[in-house]
Amino acid sequence: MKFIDLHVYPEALDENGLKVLRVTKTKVIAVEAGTVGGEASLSAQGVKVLRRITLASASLGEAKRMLRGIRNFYEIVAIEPLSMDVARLAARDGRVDLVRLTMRSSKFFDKHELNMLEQSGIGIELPLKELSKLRPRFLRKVRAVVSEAWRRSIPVVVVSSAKRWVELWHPITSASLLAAILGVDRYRALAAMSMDASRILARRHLA
Amino acid sequence: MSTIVYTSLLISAVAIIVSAISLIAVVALMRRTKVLASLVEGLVKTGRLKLGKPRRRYIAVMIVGEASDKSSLEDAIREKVMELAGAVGLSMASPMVVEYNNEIGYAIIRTNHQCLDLVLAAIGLTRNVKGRDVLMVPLRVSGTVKGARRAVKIRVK
Repeated sequence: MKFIDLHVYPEALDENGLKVLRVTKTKVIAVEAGTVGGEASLSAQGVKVLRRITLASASLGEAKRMLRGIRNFYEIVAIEPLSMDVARLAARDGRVDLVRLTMRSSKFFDKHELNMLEQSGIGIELPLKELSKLRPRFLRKVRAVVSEAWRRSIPVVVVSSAKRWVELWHPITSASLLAAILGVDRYRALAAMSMDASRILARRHLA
Repeated sequence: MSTIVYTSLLISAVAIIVSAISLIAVVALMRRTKVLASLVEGLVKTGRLKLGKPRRRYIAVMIVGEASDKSSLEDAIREKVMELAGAVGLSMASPMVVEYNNEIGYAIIRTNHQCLDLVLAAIGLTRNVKGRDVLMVPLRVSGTVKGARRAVKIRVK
């Protein structure tokens, strides 16, 4: 199985971070808006490094302006919608790969949003950093959105969003956390996580 | 002479009928067992049925970062299990650090098969032990301590 982490900050990839990536056998990482210092050691480890950007906006005009020409610079584009208009734009825009499900944006994930995501093939990004805060209201929303997304076969990509090496996650522990929250089998969660990220990469011919 | 032939024919016919009936019975029993097995399997998979007594599971973990002592590591894991599943979950899972080696940087944590997901999630959530940054990476889940030790040995080599 190919383990993929589609959101890591460059600061997380220090000596300990590289050690964790080696142990977890992560094959692809997407580094947030910047260059990686140890790119040579990462490629020596067999880790493919992608560039990604996360946009957060409440204004539709601003979001459209930010998206203009963005695919020339980044391989993965994620949007954290802070208003309903931006959430709808993110769910249908072909330049977007992932829509971020966080505590701030969770209220915009309704059935219409999921319908649009299902039709466009854009995935839902679930940051483990937010999930590990264990806020009951957010967990309830995650349970509802993820189970519905799996039912509709919308890709749900679990990412670490690690700013430090200690925030990186092993795929088994993240699958177990998801299994404990959703009440599903660990291997079901693991397979979904691994395959959904691959689907997002395959959509951009990056797999 | 004819009576002997008739009798032998009758006996063979009865034998054939009995064997056919027993064959049908065996096939029916097998199908019924298969149906029952799939039913039980489905119940176990969905978590509606927990079979038998809880079996022990040993999780071999690699510790990255500044390691601390055994008891504080155990306390940190127990705290996270408590946060995730409450007092009932903690009492069911009862995670325990069986072995801990500070030099190599590994630990073996015991739980049971019913609460394995919960303890693995708690291991993932544990990032800080007594103010020190610690990351635990699970290497292998085993049914015996020996198996867990073997996983650690392979990793150390």
